[in-house]
Amino acid sequence: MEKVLDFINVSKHYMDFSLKNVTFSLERGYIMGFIGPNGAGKSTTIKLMMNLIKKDSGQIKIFGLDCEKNNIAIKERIGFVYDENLFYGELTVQEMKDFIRPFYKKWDESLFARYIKEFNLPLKKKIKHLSKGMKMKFSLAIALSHHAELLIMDEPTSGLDPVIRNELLDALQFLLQDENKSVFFSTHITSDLEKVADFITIINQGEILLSKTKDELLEEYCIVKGRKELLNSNHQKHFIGLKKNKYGFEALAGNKREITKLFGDSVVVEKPSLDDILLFLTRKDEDRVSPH
Amino acid sequence: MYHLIKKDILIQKRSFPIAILLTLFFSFSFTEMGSAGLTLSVTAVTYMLTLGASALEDQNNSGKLLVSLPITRKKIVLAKYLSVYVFASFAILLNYLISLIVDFLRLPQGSLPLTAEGILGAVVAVTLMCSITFPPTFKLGYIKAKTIIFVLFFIMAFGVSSLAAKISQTGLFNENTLFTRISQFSITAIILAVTFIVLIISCLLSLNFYKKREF
Amino acid sequence: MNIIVSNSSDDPIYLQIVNQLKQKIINGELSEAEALPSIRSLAKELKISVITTKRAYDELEKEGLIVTVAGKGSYVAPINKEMLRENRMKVVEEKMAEAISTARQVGLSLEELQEMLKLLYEE
Repeated sequence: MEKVLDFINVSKHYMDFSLKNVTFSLERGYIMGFIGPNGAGKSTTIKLMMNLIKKDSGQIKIFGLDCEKNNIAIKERIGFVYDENLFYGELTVQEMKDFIRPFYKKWDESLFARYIKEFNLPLKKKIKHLSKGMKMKFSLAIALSHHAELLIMDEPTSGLDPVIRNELLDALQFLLQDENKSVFFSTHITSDLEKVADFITIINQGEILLSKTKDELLEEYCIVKGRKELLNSNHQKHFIGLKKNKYGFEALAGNKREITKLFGDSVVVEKPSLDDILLFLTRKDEDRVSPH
Repeated sequence: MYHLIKKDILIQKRSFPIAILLTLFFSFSFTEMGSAGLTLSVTAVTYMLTLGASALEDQNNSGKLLVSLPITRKKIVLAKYLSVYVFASFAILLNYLISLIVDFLRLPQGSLPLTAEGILGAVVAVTLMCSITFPPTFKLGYIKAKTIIFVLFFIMAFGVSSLAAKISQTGLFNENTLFTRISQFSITAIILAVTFIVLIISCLLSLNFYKKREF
Repeated sequence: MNIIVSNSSDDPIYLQIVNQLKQKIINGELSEAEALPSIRSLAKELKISVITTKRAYDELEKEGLIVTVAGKGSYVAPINKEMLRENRMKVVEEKMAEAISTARQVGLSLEELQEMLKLLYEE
């Protein structure tokens, strides 16, 4: 399998935050969801792949090429959508497109026209007068109109309503009909990914907690609920996260089969949501069990 | 590069009427100043447009957009420097048009003479001002760099005036000293050479700063 | 053709697809050599991930129910329906044997068991 995106032991240090030994990769033809709480390092990771900041150590390869040395060649094949509007507010949609267009050798005007129609974008309107959803869709139209092989999105859905988020997901799945396209999608709204993502990578406090297929994740992990009397230190080592309340406990475990063997019918075992997994893995209270 | 410069013009659509008004104002108020008036007018309008482009860029955080596109950082810096001369050409052209209109209408006053002296003066002034403005802007972004630019200008103005005072004390400009004996042409050449060196240094600094800039 | 996946089901989504396609192949709704939807279009239509549909197809291929031709797509494999039916019947027999042994343990008579079966079947 060809890796379109490959992070190997990448570190980046700031005064108050560090990205530590980030390692993960994305295969061609799939969508990877990149999730984590605010401030976990999602944007920093994306800035590194877009060459907006420089890494301190490690290696970043995109399409098998070194990200810094082949910066321009790589950018030609990447589409990007950020969480903030970076377009010149004074320009109209048409003018902004005309500015960006000549920088991409593979720009496809008919493809752009199709997205404009599909997304109902007003060509003559100034960008500062577009709604947040419209700006995101315009950004997406730009990102998809030069036959990019990899789409990189940093929180594209934050602050958008479910209708527009759904439109975005549709566009992504349409894009993925071509098995040469890949998508890297960071978000803290996990429900967007619950359906369409192939791979999930979770980051917290600058470290990658896990990176695997969503199906594996949702099948291996489980939520366990039961009476507190059942808990002993031997059991607790199977739990990744544990929450106790007055009337019982709730825990996340990484091996569903073992849990069923261990507790049998004495507990309730449920399918977790991505949100459950994220919450348990990133909680900071004293009951948190280390993931190792 | 052409597209980057065109963008600097496009995003300032609203500043152009102001530039025209400013040019008219200078034309009518400083007619008596002749070449110096032209220098003043072209410099003011050019610098206003140059700063405007930088400010709008920063407001939109569009540096992040440019760097994300397949454009080298080198091109972004060089385009910025080139755009200064595009704005200057525009300012000179405006003055030319005004002089044509004034002539056509046979107005008694209102146009500044398009002398080589005036134009050269403007080019030198604009180059020096932008050479000071750009490196801090490329390092920090316009909004953060504003204070530094102001301080640099202050130091320069202060430095030049105290230097001039020192020089006049030494009597270098008295009759028969070196400076008065060399031709006007040579002085112009020296000024141009110094300006050019300043521009090159500024450009290298900007390139270096922008290459390391993190977004 | 209808395929319905449920997020609240206990079965993983890939398994739901496997079971439904298997059903359609056995009951003839999908006939031999008929083309199946492509992995990517099925994923798009069902709004699920590509990997999930891929896994379902891989599973069906492993069981010999479909064949995938690289670059062309997946087709219903030429199968011996009789054998398939027998296989399924064997499963039913096994499950029944299990039910009978449990019934014996609690002392249910054959009549009682038959009555129970009848009720459940007609449900």
